[in-house]
Amino acid sequence: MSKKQRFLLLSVLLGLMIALQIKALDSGIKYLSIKEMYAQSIELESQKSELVQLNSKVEELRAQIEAYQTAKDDTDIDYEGFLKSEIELTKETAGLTRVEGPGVVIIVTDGTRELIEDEDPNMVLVHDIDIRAMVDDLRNAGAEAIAINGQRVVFNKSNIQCTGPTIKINDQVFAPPYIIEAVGDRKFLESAINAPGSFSESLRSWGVFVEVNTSISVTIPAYEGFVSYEYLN
Amino acid sequence: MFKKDNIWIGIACIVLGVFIAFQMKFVQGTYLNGQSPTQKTTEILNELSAVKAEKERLVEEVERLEDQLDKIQNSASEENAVVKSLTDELNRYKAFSGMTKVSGTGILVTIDNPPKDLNVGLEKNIALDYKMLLDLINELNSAGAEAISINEQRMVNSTEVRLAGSQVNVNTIPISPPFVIKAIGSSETLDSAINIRFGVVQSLQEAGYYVEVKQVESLEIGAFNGSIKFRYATTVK
Repeated sequence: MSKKQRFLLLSVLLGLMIALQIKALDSGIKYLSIKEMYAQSIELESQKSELVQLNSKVEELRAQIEAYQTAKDDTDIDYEGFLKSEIELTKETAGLTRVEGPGVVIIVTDGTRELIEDEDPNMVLVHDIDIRAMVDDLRNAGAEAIAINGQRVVFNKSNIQCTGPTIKINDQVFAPPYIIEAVGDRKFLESAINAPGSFSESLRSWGVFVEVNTSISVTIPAYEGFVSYEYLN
Repeated sequence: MFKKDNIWIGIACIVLGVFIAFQMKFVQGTYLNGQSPTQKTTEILNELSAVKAEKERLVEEVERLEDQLDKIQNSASEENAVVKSLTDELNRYKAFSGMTKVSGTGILVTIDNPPKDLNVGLEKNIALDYKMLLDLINELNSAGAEAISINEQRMVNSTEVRLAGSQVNVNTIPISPPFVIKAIGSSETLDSAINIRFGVVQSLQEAGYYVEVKQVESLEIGAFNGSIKFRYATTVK
């Protein structure tokens, strides 16, 4: 190849590249780094699951409007009675009624194994954070109602607090063993406690005693501390 | 001699080429499902804007339907005092279970990952320390918070705060830092409950996270955006 030919080839290549570049800028294609792209796809996933949630809300509201409208217009239906049943339903999902259903009974208590030399005794004791993490695991597995030692756990009111050797749940003090009852799909709930990677697995490996039993019928008491709000509008 | 060098360079080029091809294939395979970066980017951004528009539409729809429901309830209440007191009772329970939008005084907690530190090889991610978030929520609850949300996800009875991949799922919605936690209640009590010495805020800060707590005169917390229906539990007397 002569020098001239090479020069021509390079010029053609450069021209092509410039044209491509201009075209890319023109067509509105945005460039993202792989990391940014990953962040965007997480955002997309998050927004999509919100859509699913909102859709179920819209459906529920539509059904409710229809139910209220018919209850109001139809003279055959007692509107007060209808309202009362709505109240019962709301109380049920709010955790203000005693409920029964299939579920699991979990027993958690301090470990009895001998400590290794210089080991922190806290390793084999049950702490408030352990109970919280287990409750979180159960909720993740779709538990509909949860009670610890007969105290209903509701998210917006229940606190699980360490008070020295005991744990306070709903402002009542309990000592081990802790008995956690949950209503929901038995298989899911059981595996939430037994599955590798669950919080209970780490608890067991530290030496804390955790046992799960499934039950056809678990009864969970109502939350007793219903109060009206001071700060909410 | 000169010829032999050329052959070696040729072989090195081939090996390098194969490596580059492998690398590209790998990146495409793991991150992009076999598409070119520009294609994938455009696709994600387009889909994102479509999904956002759809979400906005649904939020409006929810508001419209809620108004409609309110109107029906109000017109029924006007006719009858018993109905009115029953409706009020219903709304109280709805507020308790987190199904209504609420506002009041409270605090705003912002938690974010620390800026990347070149000296520390591992990147800190608050999502991996989600148990600290559970602690924080519990402290807020015991300090008398009446409503709590994380990144606009209202805390209700079924709410889980769970590590999923490198994000946290709340109400099954994946959220990522910065986490903005809103709590309604006595702003001073809430603030000092988490800011006490050796408290949650301190342990978060010691773990290297950025935490900011602000007392707010008035903040708004949205309703739980899904529907709760029990499939297993039934009420017994």
